[in-house]
Amino acid sequence: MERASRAFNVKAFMYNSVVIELVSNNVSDINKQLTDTKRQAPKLFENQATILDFSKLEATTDMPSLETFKTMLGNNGFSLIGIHAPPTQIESENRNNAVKLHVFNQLIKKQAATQKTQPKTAHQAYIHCGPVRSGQQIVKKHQDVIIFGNVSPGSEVLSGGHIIVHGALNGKAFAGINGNEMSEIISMPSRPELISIASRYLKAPSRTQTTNQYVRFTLCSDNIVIEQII
Amino acid sequence: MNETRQSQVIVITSGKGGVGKTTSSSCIATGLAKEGYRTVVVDFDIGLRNLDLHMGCERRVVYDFINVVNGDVKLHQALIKDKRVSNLSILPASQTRDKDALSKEGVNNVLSQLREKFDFIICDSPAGIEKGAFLAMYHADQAIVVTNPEISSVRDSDRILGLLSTKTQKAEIGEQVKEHLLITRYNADRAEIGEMLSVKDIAAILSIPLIGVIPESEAVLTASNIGNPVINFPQTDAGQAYSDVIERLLGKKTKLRFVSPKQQIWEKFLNVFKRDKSQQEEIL
Repeated sequence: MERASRAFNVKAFMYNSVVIELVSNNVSDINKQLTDTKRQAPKLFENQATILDFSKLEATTDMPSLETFKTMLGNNGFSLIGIHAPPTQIESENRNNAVKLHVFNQLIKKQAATQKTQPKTAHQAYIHCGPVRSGQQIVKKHQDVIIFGNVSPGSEVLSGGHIIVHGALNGKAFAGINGNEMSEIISMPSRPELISIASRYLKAPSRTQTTNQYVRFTLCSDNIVIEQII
Repeated sequence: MNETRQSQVIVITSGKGGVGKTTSSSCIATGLAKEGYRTVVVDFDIGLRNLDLHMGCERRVVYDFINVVNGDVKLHQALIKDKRVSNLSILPASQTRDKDALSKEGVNNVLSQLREKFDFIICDSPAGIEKGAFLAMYHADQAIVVTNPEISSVRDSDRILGLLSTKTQKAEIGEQVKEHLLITRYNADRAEIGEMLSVKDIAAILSIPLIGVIPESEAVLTASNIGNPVINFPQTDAGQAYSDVIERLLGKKTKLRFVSPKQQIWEKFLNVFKRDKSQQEEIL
């Protein structure tokens, strides 16, 4: 019997996105900051999927249109995929658009708040023995990740908790991807491409690693702090 | 398949182009055949055939790998026997088709037939991580990852090693392809003064066992231009280095050569003089 030809396959997919949390609705200020942010890491933000978060904005009448935000982001290489807590004007504009943006109900901040107040049962850490090669990705949303081996340039490690690398961390490491600000990254002397803890990032730390000491990355007042340990 | 024969499929791969995959394939296949093993070297670079030139059999290609995959001809009709080494055969790639002409089942069928006839099947992988490279590595028992001492080549090799650990038949059944690192075009003098990645640096980044270091040599280009693998020129550095690779591949513990800077006679003399002088200073 001949099988009906398939038109598509449904696959699970996880994609890193950035959240732009607006604290001002001044178009020129937003545009300037977007340009500065893009200049700091052009490749990182090239076609970066972006969610626009309006939750911190006061309801005002002089809110720029959704189209203005789209154009501003697009001009700086960001690709708008969704919005969060949109004001009424933005929400109705989105509703009337032919291609609607997704409206997110809950973003990482709210999850982080619950994690701080309600301690969860400890999850078993994921242990990876061997190198993480260029192009490979380890994603453990609800586990700490411990790696015995080098993390090569071009590879990515994403964890909901801590990331500990007993080797050189030369790729990208995203700890606390669910918003856990207590997450840490610990590695042997290395030149990581990117360090991110609870959505705050540090690109290519230029520290010269000459000692054999472990390096610890933690989040302190919205800044990633590097210290040598052991 | 005859299990007692234990034929081995070895893929020569790298990710990056121009690092010496075809040169290494021709030399390793020739070396193994010279040791008495029935060996075939298969060109997986469909559409960009070069192995026939390296082996000096470009005028003898009638049928090719794709003809066998498609079932147009029998395997023995496409195999070319090497004129220099009796145990060696070449299965050339098609020059008129592209990599889409290969299929997993077709390649599997051809390799099954080759496993019955040969002890070693050397697969010369194309550059990149497209279909041709994927099919070349898919059936491999062992992989020789060829790397130049430059950072882009090392990163591409790292990518290939990632694919070898996940996208091969062995990986699918929970086994591991045996990996070897082969560094080509190595210049110990430049590595010594930091102009080039050293053997130690490359081995540390890729974390796989080193099977050999081929020195940068004019003889490699000369040999490929005349269609005779450089391993057939034992008086050359590169030829000797490839012979060492064969010994290591067959399990012998051969000392690594061509990894230290060459010292001129006057430099040796100068070093002795410097040593004497420093010793004198220490005494004083």
